[in-house]
Amino acid sequence: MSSSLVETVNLVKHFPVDNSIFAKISGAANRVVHAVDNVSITISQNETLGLVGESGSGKTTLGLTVLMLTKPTSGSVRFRGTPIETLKGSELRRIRREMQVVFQDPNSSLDPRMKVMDIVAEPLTSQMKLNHEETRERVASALEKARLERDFMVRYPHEFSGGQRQRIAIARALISNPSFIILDEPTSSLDVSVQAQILNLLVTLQNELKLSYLFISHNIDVVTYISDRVAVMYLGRVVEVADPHQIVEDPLHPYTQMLIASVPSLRDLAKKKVEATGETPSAILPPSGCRFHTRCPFARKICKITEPELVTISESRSVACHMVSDNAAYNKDT
Amino acid sequence: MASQSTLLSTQDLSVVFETPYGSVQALDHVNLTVGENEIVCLVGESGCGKSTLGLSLIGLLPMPPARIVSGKIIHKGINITSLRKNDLRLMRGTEFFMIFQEPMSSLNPVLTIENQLLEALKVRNERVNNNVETAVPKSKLRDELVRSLETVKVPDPERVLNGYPHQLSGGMRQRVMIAMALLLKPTLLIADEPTTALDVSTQDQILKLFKDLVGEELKGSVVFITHDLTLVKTFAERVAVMYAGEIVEDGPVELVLKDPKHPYTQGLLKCLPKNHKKDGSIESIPGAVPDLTDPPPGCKFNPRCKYVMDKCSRAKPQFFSTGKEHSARCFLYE
Repeated sequence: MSSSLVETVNLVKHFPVDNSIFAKISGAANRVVHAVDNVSITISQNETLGLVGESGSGKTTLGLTVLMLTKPTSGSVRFRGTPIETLKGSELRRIRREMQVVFQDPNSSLDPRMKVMDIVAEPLTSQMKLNHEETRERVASALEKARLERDFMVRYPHEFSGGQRQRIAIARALISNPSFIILDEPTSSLDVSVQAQILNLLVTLQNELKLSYLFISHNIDVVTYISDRVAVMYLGRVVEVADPHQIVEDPLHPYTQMLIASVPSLRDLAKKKVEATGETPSAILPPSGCRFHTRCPFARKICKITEPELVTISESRSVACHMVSDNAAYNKDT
Repeated sequence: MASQSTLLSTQDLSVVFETPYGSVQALDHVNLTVGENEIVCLVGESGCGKSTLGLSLIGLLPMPPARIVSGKIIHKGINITSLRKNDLRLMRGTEFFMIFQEPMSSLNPVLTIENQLLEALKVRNERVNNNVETAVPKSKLRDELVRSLETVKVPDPERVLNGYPHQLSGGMRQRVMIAMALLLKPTLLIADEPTTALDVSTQDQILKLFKDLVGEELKGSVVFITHDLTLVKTFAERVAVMYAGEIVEDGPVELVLKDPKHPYTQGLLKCLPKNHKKDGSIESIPGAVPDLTDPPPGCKFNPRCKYVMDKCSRAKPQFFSTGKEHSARCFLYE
């Protein structure tokens, strides 16, 4: 594996539940939502890391924290080896040129009162002074990369279909020539036929421009299609990292097994089936020990007490589960 | 089930929405039959008219702006499009019941779950058993509510009955809606994307619940509306694929999924990322859904169809049989 481009080290993000002065006096301000807890992931050059999890698992917060759009509570984010959580002002802006993001809903991520030209040019104009001709040329080339016509720049977002709007958001992400793009559910608001067009575009762009992606989605079909490696999140923690085919065909963590067995199109492929039961507990008071123990059919005493570490089982594969790491240790001994 | 009798059928149903931008042809000569105790799935992308069809089946179309231009909806031999508002109201609940995507908008936020379920039970008793006078003791009614919540696997039903909708999770709210359907015992249940707002593991539990209840506690026919083709095979017997306000293919689930006939259905199945290598070559359906204020002449799919022939833009294809109980609206099978 080549050297890592983006890396998080024990990244933690807690949101206070109630920040009012009354809460501070009464002590209730200590209650926090454990959105991201101790997450360490790496993304290599030209690699796609898929991030799956159900709503509330912290996958979007992880993305926002990597971009420093929200400051981490503790831990570090490294870009090309440089910790970026301490950067400020112009230094942070310079890094941000290399890190871009595409959000789920282009209706809310594109300003309805701005023309496509101004929307797409914004990552540039906010950073440097460019004359009108230069800007036009850069916008035209970004639109071209996203397979849009150059004439679109004089129009407004509402004149486009959902798929075209998402292409505009992609063009905006491409204009500053980034090396890393976070794609936060980029196809979730689209119909399947349009979703296929956007996925094709993203793969082609990655090959042409040698991009790295963090692809966040709740749709396991889509994530396993586009990713080189997949990380599964549950209640703020990464519980398993593996190759996409391993995630689908031989998931190790009981939560991953449950997730795969819940997807109608993958159920037949799954070898181990864990029936889905219960609901995700609150992230304000997450269960002690392993956070999945309340729903896990294999839970033992230790699972309620000690939180399992993310242990590397084999190359490109790690799991945070007592049962799995015990089995791995046993197999090594014998 | 070929020999079953028809519960409900639409005959050349056409619905138009009058908008400031022109008339939108939301449904175009739709012929749908639902047999007694049959589960029919309506599939299509957004804007294809599947929800409009669902709403018109129970007489809930907002009129205006909607207008039934032609056609009939026959339920147990009665044309419900010609019924007066009050007669139709008396059929809702006990004859037709609809479960929507977002249960929070179907439940009343200021009434306890008990009061809302009690209302359903009272309506049922008034209309069917005619025992409005013989006051059933409230404790007995409550027992029945508890039983219905137990059937839909709500944990701690006593506590849930005393609570309000906002205190429940999305999955639990949807279970309450299903419990309400159990109490009302409708002859036709319409479920419009009931699992779309839910996480996959919750979706899986709700779908399994549906599957277990239909034909057992939940007697009657079900029309299941979804955009997700992969859900169809989990429990439906028949599927009708919709495109731009028309049904384009109708047949047994297994046949339609394994050997789709209409080019649109073929495209829909091919553009799922599953079974594709990551090389940017998922076969997507080119173009976008047509503007229904000005649909293309002839077959509405002809501008996007790869098998398009001369006559496709001149004449509108009828349904042609392509196998046992399997038909497609396409000139390829003339």
